[in-house]
Amino acid sequence: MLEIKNLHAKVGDKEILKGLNLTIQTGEVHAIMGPNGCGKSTLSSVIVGHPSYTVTEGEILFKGKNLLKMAPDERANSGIFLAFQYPIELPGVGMAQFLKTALNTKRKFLGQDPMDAVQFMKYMNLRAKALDISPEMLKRSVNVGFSGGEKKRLETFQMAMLEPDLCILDEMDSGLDVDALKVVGQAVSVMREKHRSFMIITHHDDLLQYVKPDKVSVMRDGQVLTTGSADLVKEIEAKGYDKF
Amino acid sequence: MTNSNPFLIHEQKGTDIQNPMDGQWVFNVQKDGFLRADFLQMDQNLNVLVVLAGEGAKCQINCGYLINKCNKININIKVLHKVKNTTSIQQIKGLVADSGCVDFVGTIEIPKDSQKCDGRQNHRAVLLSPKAIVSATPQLEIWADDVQCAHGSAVGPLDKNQLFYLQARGLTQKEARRLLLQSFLGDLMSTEFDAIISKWVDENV
Amino acid sequence: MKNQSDILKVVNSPYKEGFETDVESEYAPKGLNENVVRFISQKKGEPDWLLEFRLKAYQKFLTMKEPHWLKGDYPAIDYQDIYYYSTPHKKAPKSLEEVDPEILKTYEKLGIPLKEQKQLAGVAVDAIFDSTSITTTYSTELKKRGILFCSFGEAVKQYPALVKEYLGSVVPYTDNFFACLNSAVFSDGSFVYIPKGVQCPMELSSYFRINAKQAGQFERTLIIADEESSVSYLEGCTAPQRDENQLHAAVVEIVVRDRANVKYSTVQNWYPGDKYGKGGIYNFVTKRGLVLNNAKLSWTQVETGSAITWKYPSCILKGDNAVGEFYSVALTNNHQQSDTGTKMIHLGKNTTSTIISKGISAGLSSNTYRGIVKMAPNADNAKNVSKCDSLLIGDTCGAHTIPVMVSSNETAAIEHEATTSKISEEQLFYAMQRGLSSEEAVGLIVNGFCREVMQRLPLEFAIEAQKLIGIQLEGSVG
Repeated sequence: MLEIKNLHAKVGDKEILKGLNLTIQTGEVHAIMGPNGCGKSTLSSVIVGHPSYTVTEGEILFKGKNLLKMAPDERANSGIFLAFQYPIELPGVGMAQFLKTALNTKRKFLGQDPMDAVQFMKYMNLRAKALDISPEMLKRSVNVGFSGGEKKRLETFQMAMLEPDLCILDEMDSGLDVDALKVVGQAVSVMREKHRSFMIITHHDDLLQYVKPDKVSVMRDGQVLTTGSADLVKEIEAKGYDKF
Repeated sequence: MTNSNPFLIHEQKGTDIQNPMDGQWVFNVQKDGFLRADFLQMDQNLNVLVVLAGEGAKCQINCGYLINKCNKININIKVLHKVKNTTSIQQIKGLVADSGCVDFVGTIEIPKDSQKCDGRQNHRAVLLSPKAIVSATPQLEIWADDVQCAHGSAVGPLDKNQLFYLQARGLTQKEARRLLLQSFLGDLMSTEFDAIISKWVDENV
Repeated sequence: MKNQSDILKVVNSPYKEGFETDVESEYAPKGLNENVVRFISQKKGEPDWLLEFRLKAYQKFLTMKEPHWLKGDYPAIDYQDIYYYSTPHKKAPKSLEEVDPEILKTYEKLGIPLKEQKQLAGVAVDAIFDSTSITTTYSTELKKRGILFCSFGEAVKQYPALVKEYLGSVVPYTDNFFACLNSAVFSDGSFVYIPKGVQCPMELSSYFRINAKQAGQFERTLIIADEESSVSYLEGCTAPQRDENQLHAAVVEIVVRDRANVKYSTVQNWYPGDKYGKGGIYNFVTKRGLVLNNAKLSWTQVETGSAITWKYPSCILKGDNAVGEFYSVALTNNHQQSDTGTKMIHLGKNTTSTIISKGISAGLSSNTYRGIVKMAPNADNAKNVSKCDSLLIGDTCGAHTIPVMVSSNETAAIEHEATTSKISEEQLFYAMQRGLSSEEAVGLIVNGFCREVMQRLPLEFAIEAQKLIGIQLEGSVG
C-alpha cells in the first residue's frame, strides 16, 4: 500500500526527515512511535502533501503510484485520510454539507455517480449512530465550538464517511478520556479490513490498548530505527525510547 | 514638546518624535522599536500619525477625552504599518458632558507587502448629557492579506449590570455612576492622570 | 501555497449571462436635455404632474456636481453620450403573445419563468427589459386580495393618487446627483402596494435586464406597505457583456407603515467587466426606506457583479420601536470596485438596527464598507449592533471599512466590530485533504464566511447566490 524510500524532508531550512524508510502492507495496522521531535507528525504531513514541507530527496509510492507528484486533493481522493492532531475550524461550513461535497468529489474522481440528498442522509446517519455523533453535532460548523476530544471523534467520523484505503491517525489519543478512547478504538476496529491500512502515530500506548497493531516502527531523529511486532510496544512502555 | 493638554510618552525605544505644534505629533518607530504614548484631550484637537517604519516595530497609543461645555474637539489618530511584521494597538476612551462634541477618526492603514502585521483599535464613549454628541469613525484600509486586523467601537450608556452590582453593595446610584466613570478612563491611562480625571468627573457628573 | 502553479487556473468562467438579444429597439435621441425628458414622458403617456416632477428634477440636476468621494476611480461619464430611453416595443405589450419572441427566449435562457405555468411556485415576476416592463405575472390574482403589483408605468395610469402621494417622499429628487438624474429620466420599474392588514402570500420579484447598447438604465421602484401588512420582495439583475461601461442609476423607495414588515432582497450580477477591467456596469443606486411605528424593514443583498458598485440601502427609523436590518455580501474580483454599506438613521425611541456586512476581495479589486449609524437627540434607548468582516483572497486586493457612528442621545447604544483576515492555509489544506480541489475549498470556506447573510435569502435565490459566488471567485486562487 505505502512504500517510502530514503525520504528527506525539511520545513523552512530545517531538515526533519533524514532518509526515512517505511513499508506498510495492505490490510496492515502499523504503529509509528517515537519521542517528541523525532519527526512523526512531519512524516504524516509530508504524506498528505502539506505545503509547509519540502521533500528534498527520496520517493513515496502509494498503491504503486508516485505520490509526490500528486496535489493534496488528488492524494485524498486516491484514498489517503489524515485525522489531524489539531483539526482546524471552518466557520459557517456545516459538517453535513462539507462531507457531502467531499464524498461526491471522491465519487466523481472514481467515475461513480454522486449520492443524492436522500442516499447521503441514510449513509451519514448510519455512521453517525455507530460513532455516537448526535444530529446536533452534524448541524454545527466544522470543528467550531467543540472540545479537543469531540474534534477527534469527529475526525474519526469523517474517516468512516470517506472510507479511505490508508488512514493516518496523528496522535489521536492525546486529549481523549477513557470513554472517547473506547469509541475511537471501536471505530478503528470496525473499519479494519483486508483492503485498508492504518498508520497510527503516537508516543504512548493508550490507543494501542484498543487496537492491536500488526507492526510497530520506532522513529528517532527523522529516521525509522527499527520495525518489529506488537511486542515492541511493551518494551517501549517498560524501558522508554532511550534504548533505541 | 508642546501640547496644552496632558500627555505622556510612556516608553519609547528607537522612535523619532516630531511635535511641530501643539497637538500635532508624528512618530517614526524604527526596526524593533517600541512606543507607548498616552494623551488626555480636554479642550484641544489632537492629530497623531505613527509610522511603523522598521520590521518588529510596535506601538500602543492610549487616548482619553473629557469634553464638556461647547468644545468641539477633533481627534485624529492614524497608524501606518509601512513594513511587514509590525504591531499596533490604539485604545481610545472618552466622556462627553454638557454640549461638548467630539469627532474621532482612527485609522489603521496596511499597504501591500506589509504582511504579517497585527493592528487593533478599540474605542468607547459615554455621553453624559442630552446635548452631548460623539461622532466616531474607526477606519481600516488594508491592502495586504496575511494580516490580523480588528477594531471595535461602542458609544452608549454605562453598563446597567455594573451599576446594579454596585448599588446592591450599598452605593447610591449617583455614587455608583461616579465610581464607574472615574474608573472608565482609569484603567486605560497612566496613573499620572488620575487626579485630573477625578476632578473632571466630580465637576461634570 | 506551494502547489500554486498546479492549482492556479487562469480561467475566468465566462459570464454566462453575457449574451446579447437581437431585437429592434426604439431609442430616444442621444444625450440629455429638456426635450429628451419631455420625449420620455410623452412616450409613456404620463400626466402633467409627473412631467412637472421630471422637469423640476432636470433643472435641479443641471445645478448639481457629480460626487467623487467614492473610494475608486472611473473614467468620467459623458452624460451626453448616453441614450436615456430605449424600448424593444413601440407599444407596451398587453400579453406575452405580443412580446418579441427573442425577448422571451432571453428570459428563458436566464432561467426566469414568465409563463405562469412554468412558475417557481409562489413567486410573481415583473420582467423589465431595458426600460420597459415586459410583463408582470400573477397581478390579477394578487389584485383579488387588494395587492397591487405592476410596472411603475402601469401604476401611474391606474393608481395615480397613490403614486403621487408617495413618489419622492423617501428619496426626494434633491437628495443626490444620481437620484436627481433618475428623477428626471427614470424609465420603468416596479410598483407594489400592500393594503392594510394583508400579508402578501407570494414573493414578489423584479428581474432587470439591460440589453440596448449605450443605454443607461434608470429604474424607479416604489413599494408601499400599509399598516400591519407584510411583503417579501426580490430583485435580480444581469446585463450583456460589452466593452463599454453602462450606467445603472436606480432609485428604490419603500414606505413601511405602522406595524408593517418589508423584506427586500437583491442578488446583483450585473456584468462586472472582463479580467482586464474593460467594460462592466456602473451601479450607482439610491435605496431607502421610511419605517414608522413598530414597523420593520430588512435589506439583504448579495452583490457579485458590476464594475463599480455604489449603493447604501438605508433605513430611516422614524417611528418608535422601528426596526432596520442590513445584511450584505459584497464580492469583488479582477478590477471590480465596490463601495457599499448602509445608513441607519434612528429618529424614534427604542428603535433598533442590525448590520452584518461580509466583504470578499480577490484579484486586483477594492472592496469598501461605508456606513453611518446616527442616533438623533430623541432616539431614547435606541440600539444598533454592527459587524463588518472582510476576507482578502490574495495580496493584490484591498478591503476597507469606514463605519461612522454619531450619537446625540445619552441613552442610545451603538456597538460596532470589524475584522479583516484571509483564508488561512491551514483551512484550505484541511478541506483539500478531504478531497476538495483548491477552488472548491475556497468556495466552501467563502460561503461559510457569508452564511449568516445567505440564510436570509429565500431558498432558490440562496442557492443561486452561492453558485454565483463560486463562479465569480474562479481564477482567484493562486
